[in-house]
Amino acid sequence: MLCDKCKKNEATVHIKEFHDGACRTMHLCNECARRKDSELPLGELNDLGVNLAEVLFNIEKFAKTVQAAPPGQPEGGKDAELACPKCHWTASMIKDSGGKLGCPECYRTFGKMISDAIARIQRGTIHLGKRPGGNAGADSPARINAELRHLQADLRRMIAGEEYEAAAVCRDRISELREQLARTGSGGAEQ
Amino acid sequence: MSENPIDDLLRHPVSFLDDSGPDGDIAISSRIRLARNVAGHPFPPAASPSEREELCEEVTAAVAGIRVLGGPGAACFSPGTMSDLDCRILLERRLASKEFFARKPGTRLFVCPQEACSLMVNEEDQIRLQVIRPGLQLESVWREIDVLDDELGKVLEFAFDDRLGYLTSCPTNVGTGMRVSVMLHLPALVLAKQIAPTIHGIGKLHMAVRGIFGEGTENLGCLFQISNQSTLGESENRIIGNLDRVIKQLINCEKLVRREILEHRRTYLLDYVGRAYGLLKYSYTLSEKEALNSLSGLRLGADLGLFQDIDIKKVNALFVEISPAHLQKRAGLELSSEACNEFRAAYCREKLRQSA
Repeated sequence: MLCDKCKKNEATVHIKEFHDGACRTMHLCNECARRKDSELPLGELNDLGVNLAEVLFNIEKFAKTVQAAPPGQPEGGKDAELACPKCHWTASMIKDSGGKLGCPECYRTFGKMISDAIARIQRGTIHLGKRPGGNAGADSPARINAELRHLQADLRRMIAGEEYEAAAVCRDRISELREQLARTGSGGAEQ
Repeated sequence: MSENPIDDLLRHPVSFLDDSGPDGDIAISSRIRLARNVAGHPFPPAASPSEREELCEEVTAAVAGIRVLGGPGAACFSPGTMSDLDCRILLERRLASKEFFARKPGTRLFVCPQEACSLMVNEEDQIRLQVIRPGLQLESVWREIDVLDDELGKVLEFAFDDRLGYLTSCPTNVGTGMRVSVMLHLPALVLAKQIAPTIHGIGKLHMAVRGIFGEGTENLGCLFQISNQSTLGESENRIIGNLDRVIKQLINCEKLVRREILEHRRTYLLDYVGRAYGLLKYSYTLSEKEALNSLSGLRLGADLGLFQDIDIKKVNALFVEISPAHLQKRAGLELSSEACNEFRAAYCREKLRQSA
């Protein structure tokens, strides 16, 4: 077999490379294999930068339901006709801005859509960090228990909706929080 | 202080690149950003220019009471009154983002004298507070930014929800509103083609990796930024602890591969860093890509003790100084791409001559 690269010498080195899930085999002569090895080009960075908001809000699908609805007769569920009473931001404006909300009140207005998104993009659903005016309560058993209650409800909903990937993340977080509670000796989380 | 605060910034190298921090040979800098919004105001993407200006004045009054950002020596930039070139200087020094300049009315940037602390008003969120220090020192950076945040919180009422925490324009930041990033120089992992699997692995830990320079899949200068993806459901200390642990493992991997290459591929390594040095010292035209990759090679050589006479601080400073806006500002005139490449080569030759 001739070398894939120079097409002159006999191929003696056989290299398998896996890239993007595909396997590619190269048959090279000694000389070309040595050269390939010493090239060591600067590797490429797999761009993992995704628009989290778009992926996780499923905004394209959401926008279609908004667009498909004739004026005055929204079909895309309740959120499609919603506008924030405070800033008048709408679901399609969220889409156009890449998943951004208009004001703090939007968290209440688009609550269902936002909590679904948060369950997918964040590790938890309850804030456990600092609070304005002090850190009292952060990481406390009471707060962890509160998050566990929310997570267990989320998990049931995800399983019912066959969202198994999100459910796995949720389940891991529940185990993590239970371990955290056990470490602090404040067990008693709801099972 | 001169009339244009940009000129004052340019008089000093970027302080977080001074190579003085812990693990400074691989961890270039540690940065924490906090996103905050003031209750009762719309988020910047939904606010009108007059609403943004009103909010900007409110935040400016609060910042005036914080010595490090509003006291003597601190700088204040209003992009609406700045030239395009000066705005690009702030971008290249990583003090502001592209999004910040896209919404000019009502935007303002406060920068402390050493550029370690800064605050953007009306970027994606009304307040983006940032602290950046050299090396890997996330805990001390957190202590510093936590104090600044508390000081601001005494004057401004932040939008906060008991369950969701600090409310942000994008729910990807809600909760702590905290983004922790460490900039790492990982040339050995790149050379050994281990960077893609490493990035893949880190992605599974709810952390994001991206190249500092270059667009899309392009990675220039072997500089990467590792940051937390999740901002809700964990305390700040836990997020920082997790990231710190992963970064330390990554630093150990890079060190291991550096040793391997030094021991088993010494000729290749000498050739690689020698070519990088040659390109910077003897070229008469240098693209930004060539310069960044060569600076990375030079830094690797210096870190491994292959150059005795290279000042790493100067090499680090060059990563910023060879950027197009910085070169044009230094040249004092607008440069075509070709002229910029010539000026960059001349600047690098001069810097290496001084360094040797």
